[in-house]
Amino acid sequence: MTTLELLVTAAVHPVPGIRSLTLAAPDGRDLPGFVPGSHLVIECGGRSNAYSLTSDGTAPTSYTVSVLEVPDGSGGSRWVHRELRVGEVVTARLPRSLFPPVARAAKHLLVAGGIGVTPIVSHLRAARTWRRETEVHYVFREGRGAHVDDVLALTDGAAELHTDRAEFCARLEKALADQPLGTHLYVCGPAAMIDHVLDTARGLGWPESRLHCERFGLDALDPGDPFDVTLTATGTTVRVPSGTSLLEALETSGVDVPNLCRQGVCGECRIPVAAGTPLHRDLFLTEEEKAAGDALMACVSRSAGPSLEVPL
Amino acid sequence: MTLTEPVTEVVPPPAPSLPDWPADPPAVDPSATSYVVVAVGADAGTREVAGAWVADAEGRAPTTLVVLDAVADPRDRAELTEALERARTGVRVMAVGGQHDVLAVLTAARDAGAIDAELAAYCTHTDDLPMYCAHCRATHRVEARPGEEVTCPGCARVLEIHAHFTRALGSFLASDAHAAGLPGPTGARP
Amino acid sequence: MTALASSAAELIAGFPFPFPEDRYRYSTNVEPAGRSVSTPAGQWGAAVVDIDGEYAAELAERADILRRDPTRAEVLPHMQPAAWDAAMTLMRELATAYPSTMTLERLGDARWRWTNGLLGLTQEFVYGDGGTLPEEPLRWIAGQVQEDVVLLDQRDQLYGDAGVVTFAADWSFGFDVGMSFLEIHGPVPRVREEGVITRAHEFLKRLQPHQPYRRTNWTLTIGRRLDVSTELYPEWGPDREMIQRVDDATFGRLVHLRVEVQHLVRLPDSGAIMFLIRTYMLPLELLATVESWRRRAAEVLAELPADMADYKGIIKYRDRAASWLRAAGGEAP
Repeated sequence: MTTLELLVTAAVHPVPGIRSLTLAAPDGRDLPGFVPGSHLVIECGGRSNAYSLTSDGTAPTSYTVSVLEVPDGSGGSRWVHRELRVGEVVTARLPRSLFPPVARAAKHLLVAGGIGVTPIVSHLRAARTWRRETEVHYVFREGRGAHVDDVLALTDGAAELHTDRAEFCARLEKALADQPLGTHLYVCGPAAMIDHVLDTARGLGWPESRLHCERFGLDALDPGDPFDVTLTATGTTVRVPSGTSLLEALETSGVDVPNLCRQGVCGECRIPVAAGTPLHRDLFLTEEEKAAGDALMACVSRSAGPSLEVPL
Repeated sequence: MTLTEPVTEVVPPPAPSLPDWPADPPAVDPSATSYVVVAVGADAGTREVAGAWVADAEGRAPTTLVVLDAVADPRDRAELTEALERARTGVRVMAVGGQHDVLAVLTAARDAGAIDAELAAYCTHTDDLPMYCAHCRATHRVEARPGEEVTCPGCARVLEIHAHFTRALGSFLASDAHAAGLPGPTGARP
Repeated sequence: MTALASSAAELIAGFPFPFPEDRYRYSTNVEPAGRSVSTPAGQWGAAVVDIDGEYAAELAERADILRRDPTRAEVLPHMQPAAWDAAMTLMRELATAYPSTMTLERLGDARWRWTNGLLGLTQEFVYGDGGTLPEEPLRWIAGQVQEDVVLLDQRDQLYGDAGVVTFAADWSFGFDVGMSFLEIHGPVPRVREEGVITRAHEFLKRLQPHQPYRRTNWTLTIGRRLDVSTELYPEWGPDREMIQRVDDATFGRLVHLRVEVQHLVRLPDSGAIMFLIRTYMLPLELLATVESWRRRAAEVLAELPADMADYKGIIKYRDRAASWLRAAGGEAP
């Protein structure tokens, strides 16, 4: 089970430009739990977009995500805002955790900018359950603050809200200079804001491993470019489409390749390369082996050029 | 709006089973916003290193010097705990003394929330160490080195001290040296 | 030593024979969990938690060890959420694998009822509320599974900050608790040079919830002794000398191939990694009744490089074990 079919059970516009969706299993059963700060990759009208989960991840019966409409984006958020209706079913991958709270932190300093508040809301829910000490700074444009009520409720009103950039920067610097030993910093928001917060922390002596951020980008998944692989033993050529691994393409065409983890770790699916340049994406081969270019891990690696030849 | 995976560095960290002490006192980290220098013991070497650190650190940021006779002494211990509780993120804790005492200070700092990047240490000697006996399950100060045999001050067994060190407890593993004519277990997975 | 509750046929049928080849080296031999593996004698691996005929006996032994030595269980304060998460995950796994005897029902938002029919146990609890269970959650659930449990916290590295380990093969949980994954594996020969541990570490750091993996590990143990911990070394260490002097029949009865099936699970709520270690033991005299196992185990033991045999603590009797297995099939030793 790596994909989920999710029914849109509710959709609201809490503030201009943001649509919040509630998703549930069509048969009403419990959904897979998720670590605070996780995101859900949803198929949005032909594209895959990742959205931070804002609901409680403990044995959940529903998921909620908040989607900011990006008019000049790749179209996924427009589809969520304009096309998707309550009662429809969307396909999503299992929630993925890449921005978790640090359990051992003495205190959690959470900084959110704009729609970057979404994973912070999820962190705050867990912090409440486990009675973790938090301090929240949330900066947003006047009238455009998503989840302001949630943030205030989850911090008993203690969260500091900022709508003035200069005031936020001054307050942030003071806050970063006066945290107990053992504090961890989490920041999510626009790239320039993240850079500013992290640079300020570094300037105040914060080590890297105390700093955690989640950046917005283009695509969570990298399906890779399509390429052709020629099997020199038989002379046949197999097309490897974008989003399909070389290993899957070989298996589909009847070539058995020993494999275990299918994540580029175990080393089982190493295959020799006779011609072409591999695009290595594994953790198994050493830098020297990768540079040699005469073998690759079929489960994750691809071709840097339009074609590869393998002696299989 | 979508998210990308954060860029993670895949630099294989070393896998130390022994503390990796620097040959010379490490330099004061200039990126800190405050310093806590902890000196344990009264010997000249300790005082000299602590003095040099303080002289450098004071010129950069607020600096606290904590001088202790023994980490196990309750009053000394309370002084160390208080200094660590007052510390703010941005601090660097620097410890100097004999190996046993330096390890005790580092463990206290870790328990107070410090991580490796915030700690620096220099051992004036490695003649003693904290030894965890696997049989009486207590930690003792002994004057010995990994690979040597000692009599456990707790349970009187003859123990071999293994080259297996844990930063969490700040101690070395030791186990019965004579249960069989074989090297003792290493305390890790088969 | 554990008194055996199962028949020889049961032990053989569920035994996870660990050698895919005639030669063994350390590798990052991980694969997705939950796939049943057929062997010449039966099958294993269909579930993340496995209950067999030794259930009651092994749980009684675990309880006894914990009573005598509390250092075998530890949950550092920051691991309390992970301990609840582990308990919940193990209950779900048990209920999925053994629906006729194990059930987990949701009574309200955080309120649950757990029934373990094998132990005649019904327990209502509120997730996260320690006062609603008779003991600390990890210890409580470890009293209902045959697996040892270690919970790894992920910070810059992975740290073994909680666990209940009563059946350790030549290591000390009480000493290792709080150590990083890389520190724990520092003494293992070859693996650092070959990058196996670093790769395993990177793999674990990327492991996602709901996609458990597994691997096997093995050694030899003298006698059916599950607890060969460092703490008890004075009790079992001398067996390595004793075994060299016994006759062949005794040798085949006492020397066991010890296999650990290890599951790696990213816990879905806390984000900690749950490392399950399930130990299976089969004496050579039973192993030899399956011809392909007998032949392959003999090859592996004979070929194993000395440093690896030394580290596994079997250097003094692995040659005899190989010869014994060859002789059992009528081969020249």
